[in-house]
Amino acid sequence: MTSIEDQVLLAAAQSGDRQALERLWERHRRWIAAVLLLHKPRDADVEDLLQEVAATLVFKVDTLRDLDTFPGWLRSVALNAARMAARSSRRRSAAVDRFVSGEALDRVAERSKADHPDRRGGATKEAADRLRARLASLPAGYAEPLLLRLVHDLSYAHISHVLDLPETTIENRIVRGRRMLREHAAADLGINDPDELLQ
Amino acid sequence: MTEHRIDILINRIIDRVETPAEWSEFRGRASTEPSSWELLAEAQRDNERMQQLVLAATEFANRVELPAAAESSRSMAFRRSFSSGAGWAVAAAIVIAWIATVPNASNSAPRPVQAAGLAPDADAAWKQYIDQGQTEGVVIGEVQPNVLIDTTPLANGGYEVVFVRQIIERRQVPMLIRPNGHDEHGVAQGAIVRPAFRGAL
Repeated sequence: MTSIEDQVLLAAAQSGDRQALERLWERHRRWIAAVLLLHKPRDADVEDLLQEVAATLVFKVDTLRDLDTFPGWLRSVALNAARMAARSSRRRSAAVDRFVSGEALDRVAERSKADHPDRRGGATKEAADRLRARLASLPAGYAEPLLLRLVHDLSYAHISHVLDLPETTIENRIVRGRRMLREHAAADLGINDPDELLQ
Repeated sequence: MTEHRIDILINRIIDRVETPAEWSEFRGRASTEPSSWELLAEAQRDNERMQQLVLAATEFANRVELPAAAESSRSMAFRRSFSSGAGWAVAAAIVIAWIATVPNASNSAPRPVQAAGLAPDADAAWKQYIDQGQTEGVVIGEVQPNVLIDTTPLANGGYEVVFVRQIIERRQVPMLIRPNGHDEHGVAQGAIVRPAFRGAL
């Protein structure tokens, strides 16, 4: 079930209305960013991946036949971008392993970090790292519903549509996810005071 | 089991989707177990902090725009759909159909060109619409009689009447959307309808 607003925007976007497409992107980009944060490999730049998703949306929105599947389609585009990044990251790592090792590898990593500083602000980067660390304590399938709920107050129905799971399953996973996070809070890595982090 | 139930209630309250019955149930529990209020407060605080963390981590997304280089590609798609006689006008019809529920979509919808000669009054404009609609094939006709809603006697004689005019129109649209209630935030939801045969709606 895609919202009526999305369906209208999508129909207009497929007919070439650039503004409708931009509005559609603005409505969805934040939760897509959250999905990417959750699934991307550690060394991939999430902003680059989000840009890839944006490009795919522009070039392939015309090919979407069943408009009702739009949120799920967008999520699968994001997952593909994250998977591709993981693959190229593995290839890069294997190539480097063949030639250097140990300290030399660390030096390469340090230099790379210096040459390509993260474009996002320090606080955002740190927030992303902490968020990933925190959600990593949840079993597979529990982090994403909770994240989608938190990022945009998406309704259970919307999340169920994006993840293609029954609404009751989504609610149960959110309930359990929150409970597990509470239980893990004591062992948390100083995340009990994110206010400090956000300053 | 009881613990699980309190978790569900707290979760629904945090997400602002609890029913009045669930809120009463929670209050009932809390009256015998005051620690429930503490649990709720802690859960709300945790949720708020987690939300701040998520928003901070995804804030960068607001700076990521659609690639500008794609403009030409989009224009080509527009020309394709326009020349095939399908997309643009049809999408506009859909937009017009739902325009009242989509605050920001109106900026992107094509606007009708104002006719050079304005009708002198509403009745003349109405007749002009019927005539032009029939010429263009979008108006099939008006259903008679009109549906009377209300009558009010006037002081100087006669009546003020409130009635419904019914017009049968014909349009081609790329899809059919049936309003499908609202989600828990009050956002209108729609479902695409695919009638198996003519008139199946």
